[in-house]
Amino acid sequence: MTPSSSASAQAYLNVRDLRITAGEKILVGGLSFTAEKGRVTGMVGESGSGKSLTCQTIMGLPPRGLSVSGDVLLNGVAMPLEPKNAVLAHGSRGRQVAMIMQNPISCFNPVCTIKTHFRETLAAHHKSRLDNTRQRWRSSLVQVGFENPDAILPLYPFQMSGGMLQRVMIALALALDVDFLLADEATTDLDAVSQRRVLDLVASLVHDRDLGVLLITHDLSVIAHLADDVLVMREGVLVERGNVHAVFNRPCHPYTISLLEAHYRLYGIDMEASCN
Amino acid sequence: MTVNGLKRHLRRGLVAFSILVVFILAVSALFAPLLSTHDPTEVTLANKFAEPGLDHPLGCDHLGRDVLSRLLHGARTSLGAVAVIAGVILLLGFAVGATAGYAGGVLDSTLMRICDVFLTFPTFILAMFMIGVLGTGIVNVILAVSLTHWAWYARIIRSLVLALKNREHVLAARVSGTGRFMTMVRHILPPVFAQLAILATLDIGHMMMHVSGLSFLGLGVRPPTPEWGVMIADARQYVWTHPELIMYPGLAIFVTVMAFNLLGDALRDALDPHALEHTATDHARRETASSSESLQEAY
Amino acid sequence: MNIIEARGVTKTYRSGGFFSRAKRVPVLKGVNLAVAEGTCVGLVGRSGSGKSTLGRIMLGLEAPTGGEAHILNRPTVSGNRMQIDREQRRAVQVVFQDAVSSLNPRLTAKNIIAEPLRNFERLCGSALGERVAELLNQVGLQREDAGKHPSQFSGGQLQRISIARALAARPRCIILDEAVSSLDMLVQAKILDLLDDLRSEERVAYLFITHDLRLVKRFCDHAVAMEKGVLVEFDHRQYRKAQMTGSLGELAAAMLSAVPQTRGNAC
Repeated sequence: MTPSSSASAQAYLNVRDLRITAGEKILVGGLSFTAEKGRVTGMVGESGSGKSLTCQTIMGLPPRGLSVSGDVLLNGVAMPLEPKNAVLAHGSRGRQVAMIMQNPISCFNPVCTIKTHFRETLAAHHKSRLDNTRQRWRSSLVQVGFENPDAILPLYPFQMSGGMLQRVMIALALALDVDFLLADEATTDLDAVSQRRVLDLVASLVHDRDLGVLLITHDLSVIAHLADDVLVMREGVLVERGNVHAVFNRPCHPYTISLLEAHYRLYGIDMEASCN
Repeated sequence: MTVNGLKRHLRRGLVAFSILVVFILAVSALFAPLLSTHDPTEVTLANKFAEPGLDHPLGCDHLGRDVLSRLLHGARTSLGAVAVIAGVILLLGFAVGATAGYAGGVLDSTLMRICDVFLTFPTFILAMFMIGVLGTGIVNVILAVSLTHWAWYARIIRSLVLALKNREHVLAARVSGTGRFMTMVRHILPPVFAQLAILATLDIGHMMMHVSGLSFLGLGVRPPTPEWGVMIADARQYVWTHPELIMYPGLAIFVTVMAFNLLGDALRDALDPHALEHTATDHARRETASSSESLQEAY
Repeated sequence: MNIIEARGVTKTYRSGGFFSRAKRVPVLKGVNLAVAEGTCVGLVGRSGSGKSTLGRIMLGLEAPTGGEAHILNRPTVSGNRMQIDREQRRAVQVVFQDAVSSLNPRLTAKNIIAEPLRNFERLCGSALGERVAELLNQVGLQREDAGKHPSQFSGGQLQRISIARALAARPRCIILDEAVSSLDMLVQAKILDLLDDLRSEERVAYLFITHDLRLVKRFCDHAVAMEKGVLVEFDHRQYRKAQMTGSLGELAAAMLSAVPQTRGNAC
């Protein structure tokens, strides 16, 4: 099943023929896909499939020493992919796309309070003084489910759990008014309850604010829960894509079938009974 | 060849240079009597401020003593003192730090309070106190510097042991049946030793400065024993007429400290895997290693 | 017979240093748990609920503040000190969550697996090499992998090495402390399959600690949940979410379905 051709015209994120190599080793080969606002696009694959690398490249932060070619368009504007040019584009990109990552505690400066993180992040993205206020920080924290934001602002990252930190990351993204969110294995290290909370929060943001999400994970149940469309990656190549119901019920590619088999077997579910 | 590659070559060149310098210094210190052409303490006023020549490669000082011979013997004194200090500090610091870290509890607290007492002493004040009581001499300098520095090492070693003690591979070793002592030796000490080697090497420059500094103040070796700090002190009054007399020992100290610092850097790169840069090929290799493992069965 | 057992185990941590007033933090309050020969018991709870602490006490790595922990029906503490004899020590082994930090990065795979072999079976030389190769094959690795260091393996392979090390002692029970939580889905599936096979081959019991309720259903015979420091039994095969309360209820409610549900914005 392929996305409709008019989708690429309205798509917020448009990746065309992305190639990432390390010397002779091809890490991502000729990847093309689109993702829209107001929808959750899932990208699933195992470790080494190139999904995290793709995500980092879209953000403009590929690891050093890799050669990157191809186009990444955000809202129709081409983004430079070379790390040295990424700094120039940093300002504009940061205001459109935010990324939340697997290990939330490592995304924070351990000696700064949450309040400092808010103030400095907003200032770095050229938010004027009028926008960079406590009021705004509090309202972002409330939107992600903290009932008492004033209790959160003076805390240090080590005083908070992984789930709470992930929600603060999302609050930072909301304070920046981003249109698109990249979630790179964002709930993998959280326990079941925190994971559910973060996923439900993202779902409500997609629904209420028309936020677009590229959800990268190895866990098919996360895809099943949240994603509208899914891209299946294997060793840097896109092997199948489509609406999540279609892919789960009528998978085409043998690799997708093997992923689904492992997924159902893990939870003791009979695959035949689930596919209708 | 990128900037990174160039940097790497430069670093390798510097490392080779520092190892060479340290080797030369060690040889000078050990074989000073054989290498010097003259007795460093022999006063020959006829040779006062002699020009550099075949007989005296670096000339003579204000008392007609051969500068080169004095430098070589000075290396012996300075480096010898530093070696003894380093040995004492490492032994004492290690014994106290490792015991405190591994044992924990009351023993840990007591030992750390003792360390705190020693950490409060500034080196020079303690040295002057000791010398006031015991008299001047290189032995008292060694004592003073050792007593003020060992506690710092004890603290560092204790932190390292504490950090490693609760690592899962140490717990796993205990579950595998290894006794407490052997667990300490096999799993905790190797990384501690690696860090120690790096720290000690980097610190030798610092200790060198203390020894020379105290000697410069007249609190160290007794004249006429040659030592670089003393040579600088002696030459102070002739700085306008014969600046080279200050320059030679000063340069010797500078080169020694720099060589040991570079060596310490090199050791750190070699022994501490976390300090090395994460290269792109490592990244790619890890990614593909994991994907090939998962796809071992045909789908 | 129960391989490991906790009877009324209480654990309280004292926070605060030498000169400050100590604050007592109770983590376990009177826990009773037994793992019988050849069974698989699931221990479920949220992060930080004390499951790992209980695991460490039942392993004999820590002493309980109150109550008793037994291995092979003999207590782990005698007088005021930990006292575990050789037979007890080898009866219970562990596989930790983070494979990277549970293996010494300076040792080769062979030396890692050889440690319990040297301690318990006094093997050396070629006999040791053969047994290591046998264990590597049993967990799905190659004989040649023995000479490699942990940095040369992927996450799933490292966890296999951890399992091989645990098996080397020929234990009666293995405590799997979130052993598959950090692995990606395909690898999780493979490791759980491996553990299933090993269970029937070696007749070893498991204590499977996890926060993922769905795995418990597939993998375990009985299950208990950690609820504010005490354990609550539940029937993981027949449960109804509505009947579960407390943190077990939270975990049940948080479970994600394995198949996509119809949503408002599905196309």
